[in-house]
Amino acid sequence: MLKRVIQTSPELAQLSVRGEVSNLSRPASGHVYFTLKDDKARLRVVIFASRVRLLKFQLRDGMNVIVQGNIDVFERLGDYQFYAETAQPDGLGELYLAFEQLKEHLQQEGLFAQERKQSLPLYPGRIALVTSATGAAVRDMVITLSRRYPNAHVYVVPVAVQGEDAQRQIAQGIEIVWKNQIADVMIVGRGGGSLEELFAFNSEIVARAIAASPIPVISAVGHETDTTIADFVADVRAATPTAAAELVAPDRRELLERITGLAQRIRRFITMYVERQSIRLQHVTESRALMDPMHRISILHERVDRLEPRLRLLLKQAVEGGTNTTNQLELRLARHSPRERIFLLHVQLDRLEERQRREMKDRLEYAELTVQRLISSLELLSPLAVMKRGYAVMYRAHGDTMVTSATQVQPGDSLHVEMTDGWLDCQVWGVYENDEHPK
Amino acid sequence: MMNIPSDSNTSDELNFEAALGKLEETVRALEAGELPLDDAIAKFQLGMQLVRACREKLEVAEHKVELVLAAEQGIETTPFIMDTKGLNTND
Repeated sequence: MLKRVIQTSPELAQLSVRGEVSNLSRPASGHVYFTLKDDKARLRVVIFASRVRLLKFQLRDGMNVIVQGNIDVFERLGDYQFYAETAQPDGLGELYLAFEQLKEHLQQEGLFAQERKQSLPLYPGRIALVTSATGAAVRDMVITLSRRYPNAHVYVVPVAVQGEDAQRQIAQGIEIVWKNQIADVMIVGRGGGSLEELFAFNSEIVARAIAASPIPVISAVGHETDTTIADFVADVRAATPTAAAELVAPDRRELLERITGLAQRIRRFITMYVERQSIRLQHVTESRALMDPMHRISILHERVDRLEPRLRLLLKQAVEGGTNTTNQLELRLARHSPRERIFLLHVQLDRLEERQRREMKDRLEYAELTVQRLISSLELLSPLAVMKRGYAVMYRAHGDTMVTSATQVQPGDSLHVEMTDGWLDCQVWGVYENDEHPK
Repeated sequence: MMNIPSDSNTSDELNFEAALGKLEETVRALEAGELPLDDAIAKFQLGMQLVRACREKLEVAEHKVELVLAAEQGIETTPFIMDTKGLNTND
């Protein structure tokens, strides 16, 4: 019922409520809850996380703000609360407006343009810090620089960073640095603070001083997400003074490592180079031509030595070939020579001679044989032959009368008995007929 | 009190930058190709000189922090004594 009334009442739809923030809480959800109070009343306010992100300042207890939104009933508690869509600091409203207006104005003027930005020197010899001489910011920067890059000469240009005179002092400090050529680069900044405290860095005079500086300016305002006009104008924006000190100069240790690395590369190179050249030199000095000038000649000698036996062999082969041919020709010639025929004729002749001789011999032998046979036949017929067989020829002792019958002789007769090898003188002692036997 | 040194410091540091640049260039040249021995040795010597010079520039430097004060004419400097009090303030 109440909810409907509230929701449908047009005068409750879009409200602006002014008051002081108290009991601020920020749960993990990201929503922000607080109580807005003034002398007479208090109102529970919630700003949802999606809206919180759009706020240009940080809500804090005790801060005077104006919230815009609508009232609704939180049914579970039977309570009503204010659902704020935007909030802005009360009392700084004009300041805030001024900030937005200046920002837009300078932006249109081109002071934030990227092409206006100067690049930082890589190795600054002198660094100026335009900041409060007392406080965390200058201490953080000095310590960081002494640690990372003690080579740089640091000049602190002390200025008030909050209060009425801050903007003038900061602008003057910037000018002092570049007009006196104190440094190669400067850091302008302070620690974080409220919008009010950061006011000087949102002033036009500081913005113009930064823009006018011919030496690069790093802005380093606050550790929170506040972006000041100075940040927009500066050549480089650092989130914190420490970050600015890290940006402004290189790390000496890294530089030394880099130089050591380069030195190592040079040494490695020269070592390799010398090694390579030594090897080349060694190759050259060890080359046969230099080591042994006679080498080439030796090689030629060797070739000659190798060729010579081949040549000899060839010569030998040629001669032998010739000899062979000659021999063969000789042989062939010999085969056709008349000597052969002569020899053959000789042989033939010899053969004929032999034949003739043998013929003669045969004939002689035959003749001899015939003679022998004839002789034998004759011998058979001769009385001597008979006598050889034991027969003898008897003659009368006186005369040549051959006694051929017993009747021709008388006892007492002398007989001459002829034998082949001699003769006997015999006297007949008896004469007998064939059938008479001595008694 | 002393006056701000003139440009000598700047040129010195520029020399460091130039020396480092030249050192890198020298190393690249050495590694790039086959240099004649004399050139290689000359470059090697130059490189090692630059290494020494760069190291000296980096190591010899003492950390100097000075406070700059506006004076009648220009400025004056005085050694900066870090304020260790009030470190908890934001300014």
